[in-house]
Amino acid sequence: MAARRWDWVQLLTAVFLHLTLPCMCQGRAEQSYSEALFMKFLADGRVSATFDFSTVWSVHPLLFSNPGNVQHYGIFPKSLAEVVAHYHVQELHLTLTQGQWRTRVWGYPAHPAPPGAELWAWFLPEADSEKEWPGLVDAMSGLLGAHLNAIDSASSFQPLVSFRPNGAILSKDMSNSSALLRYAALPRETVCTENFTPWTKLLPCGTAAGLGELFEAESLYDCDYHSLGLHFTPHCLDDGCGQVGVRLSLTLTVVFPPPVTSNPSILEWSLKSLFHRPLTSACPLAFSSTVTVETNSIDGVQVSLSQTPSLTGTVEVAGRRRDRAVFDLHSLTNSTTSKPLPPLSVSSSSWAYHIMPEQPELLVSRHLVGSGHDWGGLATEITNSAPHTVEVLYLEMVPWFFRLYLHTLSVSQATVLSQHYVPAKDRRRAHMLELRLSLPPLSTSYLSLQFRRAHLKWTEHKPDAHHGFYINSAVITTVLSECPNCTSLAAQDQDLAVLRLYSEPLLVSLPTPDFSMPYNVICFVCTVIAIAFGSVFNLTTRTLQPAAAAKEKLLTRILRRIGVLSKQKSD
Amino acid sequence: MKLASLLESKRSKKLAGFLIKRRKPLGILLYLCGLVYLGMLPRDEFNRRSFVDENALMVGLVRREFRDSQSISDYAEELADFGVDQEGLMVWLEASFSRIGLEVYSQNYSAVLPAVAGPQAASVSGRSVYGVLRAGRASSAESLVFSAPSGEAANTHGLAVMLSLAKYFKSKNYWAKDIIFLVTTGGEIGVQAWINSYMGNAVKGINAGPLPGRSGAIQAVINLEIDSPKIEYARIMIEGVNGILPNLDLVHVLTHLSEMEGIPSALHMGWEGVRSHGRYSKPDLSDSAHKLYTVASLMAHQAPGLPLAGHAPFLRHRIDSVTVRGVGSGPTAKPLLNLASSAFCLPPGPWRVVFEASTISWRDSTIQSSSTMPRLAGDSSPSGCSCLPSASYWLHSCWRYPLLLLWWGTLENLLPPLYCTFLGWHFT
Repeated sequence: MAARRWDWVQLLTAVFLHLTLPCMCQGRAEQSYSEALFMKFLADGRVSATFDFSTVWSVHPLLFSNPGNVQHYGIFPKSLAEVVAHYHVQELHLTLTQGQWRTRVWGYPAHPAPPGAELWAWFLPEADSEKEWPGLVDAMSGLLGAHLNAIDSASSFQPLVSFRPNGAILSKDMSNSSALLRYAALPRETVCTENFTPWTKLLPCGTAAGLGELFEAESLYDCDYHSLGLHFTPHCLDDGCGQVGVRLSLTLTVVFPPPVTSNPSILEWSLKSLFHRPLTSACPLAFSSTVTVETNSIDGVQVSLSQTPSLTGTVEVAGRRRDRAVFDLHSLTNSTTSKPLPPLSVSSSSWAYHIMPEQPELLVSRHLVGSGHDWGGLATEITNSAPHTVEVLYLEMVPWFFRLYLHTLSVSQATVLSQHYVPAKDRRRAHMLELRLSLPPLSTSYLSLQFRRAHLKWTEHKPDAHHGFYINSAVITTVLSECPNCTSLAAQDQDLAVLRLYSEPLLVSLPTPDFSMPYNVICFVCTVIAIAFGSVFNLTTRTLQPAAAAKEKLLTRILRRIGVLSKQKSD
Repeated sequence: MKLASLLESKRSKKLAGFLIKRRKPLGILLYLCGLVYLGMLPRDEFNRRSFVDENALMVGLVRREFRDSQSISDYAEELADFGVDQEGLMVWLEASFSRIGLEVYSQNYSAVLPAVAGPQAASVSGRSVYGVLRAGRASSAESLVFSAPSGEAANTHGLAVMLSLAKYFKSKNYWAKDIIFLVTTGGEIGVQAWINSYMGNAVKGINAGPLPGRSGAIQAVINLEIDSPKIEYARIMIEGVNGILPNLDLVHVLTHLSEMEGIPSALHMGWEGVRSHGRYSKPDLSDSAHKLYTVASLMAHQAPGLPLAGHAPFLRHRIDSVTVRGVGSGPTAKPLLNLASSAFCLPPGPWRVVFEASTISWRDSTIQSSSTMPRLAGDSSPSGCSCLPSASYWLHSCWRYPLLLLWWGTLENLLPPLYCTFLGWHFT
């Protein structure tokens, strides 16, 4: 089982640490914190770095939500704890991602995330999710400086089966309904250091010690993929889940471009070359602080390390052997001296660009069909390269102004086992389509669905109206029994067999009005009224009558008699 | 009151009678006036300098970065070896793309030509190769296409420029959209097959294979056709299928930049270029005859609606695209470096007006296209809104009058076929 594979390594590390180091004082209320960095070469020569900072706290989630119960927060970030408590949140997942994870070339992601922002939450069993969700969205957007306020009822969803709780489940009632679940994604959201800085503030050691020292915004954002994650879940503290605590996992995934050297067949990276900051210490609050490098040979290309690791081991990640080298920072650094760690560099020789690397078993890609401003279509391709049937859950979320016509849904190759469709309500609710599909082995299934574009009111267009509107990434959720392409981490003990893949978000243009028309209309109408109204009103309402001869004034008659004025009367 | 009296007066009845009696000669006279007026449009008094509508495109602030002319000549040397071996060329291109670091895909297509006379084969088949440069930290929602056809007309230097630019672009990290480098065979049929597959439209007669790799919505296309290492000037071809024009901002930016780099650009060849077949002396581009010829050529090319170059099939899908064709290899030719850098410095610069007549004549006809797909033009207001209401304003919008005169002239059923063919009026 994937969740068990790290047990012996962790045990060995823990024993090693306890024998050699002075006892680290645990935080109050039994908190434990660990940090891990996992690095590996991807198939196209890129380097992926996954940070995982995880805090486990033995407070029961239900107690946690009651403000009086928790007196000391310790190393758990108080700002997040207050948000979670106030809005009665059981599980919270927020990811802020730049870029699309290229599953075809890079394998499955360790922490899957769609481009942009994604926020989904399970509320506690007694909570009113309808009332709490807007507040939670606002609080999280304030906490991480993201523009999540754009999430409203028209972009929130309640998937029935696709986003089940990741952590421990507190109530059996949750299994049959999704009334306590809310999901929203904003593909348009951009991520930058304004989100990164508040995220680092949630770390116990911040950027002052430990793996946080490697954070430099310029190098972290000069990459091909960047994903920040915040995952708060109830956590089983023992095997039988008799005791439940909470776990906060802060993750950062970065994919760097291939570290080519002057010799084109050698790729070499070091922590200094990628992050541009030295790693000098381990976080004293962490019981485990490790850097793990995967030293598997990629297609016969050898990977060599410049330093001897603290531990090496081979793990079985669902059918494939993975060689891991673990560098334990606690043992490599000395708290009394401030000598920086010896540089670690990893090189792989005789490397060449591959034309098409070995693909993972499950792939999803989506694109738009049709051009023009009236009709359009969504087309999804799901590839199953496994030799056995795979059952997947497919979730599609489309804004209300792309009016889906469900009768045009056509699925080829795959069998639809069940379907759940929530139609849209203009300006209130978006379309949601969930399908349970059975994919035959070694096949590519095609789903297509047609839609019609609606006209928005001219005030509903966003700034830069001609950019278009985004359709959320489609989500494929499945449980894989074998996962040879999974990346896994030391400290991760959640069930890795649940695989989630996100397709690309789609950008669709809507017919836009001519935004200068209201001005033109006002000018025109005002001109017409000002100029023509008076004359037309006179023409239509005035009646002319022959004028009666008016009696002349006495003075005028006298002047006429004596010859001053002309003899003829003036008309 | 006065209006009513005017209508009933004897004088007006006499005028009406005169008009009705002499309608045929009057029609012919109006028609000729319209033609004369049309011929006078290229003159400077009757049109406006071309300008870039989108204020965010600041042409004057561009700085040339691409300086690698050596790689253009290296690629051109390697490409020259292939000659007519299309398949070998495609295989070499796939290898080059993957060495640069792009994702490489290919598409097979075949087409049945409906009515072909002569010894040509009735069916055409081929393979197109394209490489996708994925922008870092971008979600592949939008893409640009940089296309260079390969086929009977050797496009050696166009391909060389494309490859060296691809290598250069790969080293930059500021791209927001994916860039697709497309090499098609079979002329416009290959391009049509590719874009049909991309958009999911099927066209009867073209059997387009599936595309194994894609990017997002295509925003713009630039097609390069250059067959000599040095060019005299760049011909920018804008007409698409059925006479659709791209967003004129794209055209103006390109001409502006090419002027900045010292390569004059033109929409159509100068009159001298037409008369002396193949020997293109640099035309005197401020000559009225050249402008008039450009206006007439645009009309003549738009009216039949046939695709002229590889950018034409894209325009049907409201994707702004142009073809840049390098022309002339005389002694005053400039190296391709200038053209390459001008084709891709996206912000515009200070431009000389080269073909104002032709652009302004058709400016309003493209308002439709520029307002519905104004990726470059932003909120384009109809022409004349930003003009001062002066005499020049009326002159600037006077393009309508010759057409109006022509229309009146034909109201009496004079020469309707001539009207239709001469006027490439296009309703989008």
